Amino acid sequence: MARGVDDEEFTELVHAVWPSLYRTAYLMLGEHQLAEDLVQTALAKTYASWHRVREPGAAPAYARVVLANTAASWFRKRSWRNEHPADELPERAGEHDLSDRPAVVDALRTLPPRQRAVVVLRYYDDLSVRAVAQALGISEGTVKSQTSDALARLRTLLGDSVVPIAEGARRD
Amino acid sequence: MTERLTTLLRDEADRLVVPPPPAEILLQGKRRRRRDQATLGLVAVVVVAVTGAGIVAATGRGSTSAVDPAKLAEFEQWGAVAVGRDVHIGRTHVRTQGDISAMYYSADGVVIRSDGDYQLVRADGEVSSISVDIPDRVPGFEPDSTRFAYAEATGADEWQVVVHDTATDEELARVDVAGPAYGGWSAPPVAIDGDLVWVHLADRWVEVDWRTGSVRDVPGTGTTYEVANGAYAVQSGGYTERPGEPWEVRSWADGSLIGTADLRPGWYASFSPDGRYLRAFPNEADPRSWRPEVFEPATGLSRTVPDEDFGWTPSGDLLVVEGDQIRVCTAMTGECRERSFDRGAGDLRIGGNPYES
Repeated sequence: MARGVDDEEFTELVHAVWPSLYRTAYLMLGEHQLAEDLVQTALAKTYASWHRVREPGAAPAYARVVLANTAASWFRKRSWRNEHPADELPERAGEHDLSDRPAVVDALRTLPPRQRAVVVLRYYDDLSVRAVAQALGISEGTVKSQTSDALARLRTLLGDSVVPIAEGARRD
Repeated sequence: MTERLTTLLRDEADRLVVPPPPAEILLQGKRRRRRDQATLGLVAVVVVAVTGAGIVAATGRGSTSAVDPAKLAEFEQWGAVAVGRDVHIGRTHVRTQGDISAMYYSADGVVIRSDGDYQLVRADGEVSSISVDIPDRVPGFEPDSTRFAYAEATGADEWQVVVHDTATDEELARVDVAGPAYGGWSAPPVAIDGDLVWVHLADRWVEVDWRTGSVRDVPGTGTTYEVANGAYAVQSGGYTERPGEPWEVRSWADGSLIGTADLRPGWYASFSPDGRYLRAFPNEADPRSWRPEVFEPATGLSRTVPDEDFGWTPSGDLLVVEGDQIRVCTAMTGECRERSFDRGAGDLRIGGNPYES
């Protein structure tokens, strides 16, 4: 039997997950208002599909999946300005002072939307390859290749000390 | 190892100032669930106010105060009715400065047009001006957002789609659109749903993504009659060529068929504010006695409504005014609840109905 939604229970969920979902959304999108809209949309969808939540403890993880799915659908529909990587990567950076490196959020913005989502879900939300694949509706192989491409670009911007060579392929 | 990357991401995230969650998430979830449902039976509009628990109800950036969730719930349940210059929104009575000629549902309440000026009347009775000058065109509103859209002429057959936020009284975006206007209007009518605005040109509708600025022609919309959130209604072959053929309700996103409405020949229909129902009535004086019909295209259900005139609540219930009684009935089962109100003198405007003249 489908599990009904209790409004008080849902309100508590909103309180509990809003800050972390907002942070994930901001890292994915790079804009505060878009991040707020994304989380708001994802939570409304979570309410509407509450029957898919197996038990209360699974609700935060489910809301995160809905967030990632919603972001993925936005990426498919929109034409984002300034969201394409350069045709040629910049000359490979040597070791820089931390103060010379662009902020990591600025570096994320140089990635295509899906690569950015993969990086955020794997290295901020600490999801496994399988969990990221399910969240974004892509194959595990695509997650791995997107990770590799994203880390290669981030390495040129943030340096080897942040993204060591060959480490991206090892993390599963 | 990538721990350094993880550390940098978490440091950035921890530095963020996280805004409070908006109170309307719960209401939006309920509306989304109702839209998703295509079932028979009573639609139980049980709106639970979001109280306590520290959720700060934000009506948008720059808002000085939040709308009381209990008042929003009453508004959701009872809709809004205007008589002369009195607005009855939920159970709250507001007297405005001039006779109301049009009224539109928005997330925080209703937007009224009076003597060409626009005002927001919130569910808690607070009234504020909206700084737009659009007395002579049809704007697009959506009941689950504080944003609305309208078109503005910038040259011969050239327009700008403007998106405005009622909560902050701020203009959010302008996007250029070109094409001949639908006859009789100083600017094309528009409709809005989230990030998308649809503009009614003379021979087609165009879709504007106001966040990105992209514009596209929507195929197959040359003979579109009515539009709603997410959907539009057309008739195969066009109204004048094949009168009496069923109306098709299609999705803006991909033109897929949502359902049909089998209108009587010579009848017309308009959408409920949430896009779920069509209300049908004779296009011209029908010599027979008639009663309106309500269609639910997604399910194929329809019902003859005993009341001659009605509007809608924001959540898609029928809204009837009879004397000093307001009656709200579920669209397909006809189960009703009613209350009395202090009806004054003046023209009646029932929420959810278009009053463009």
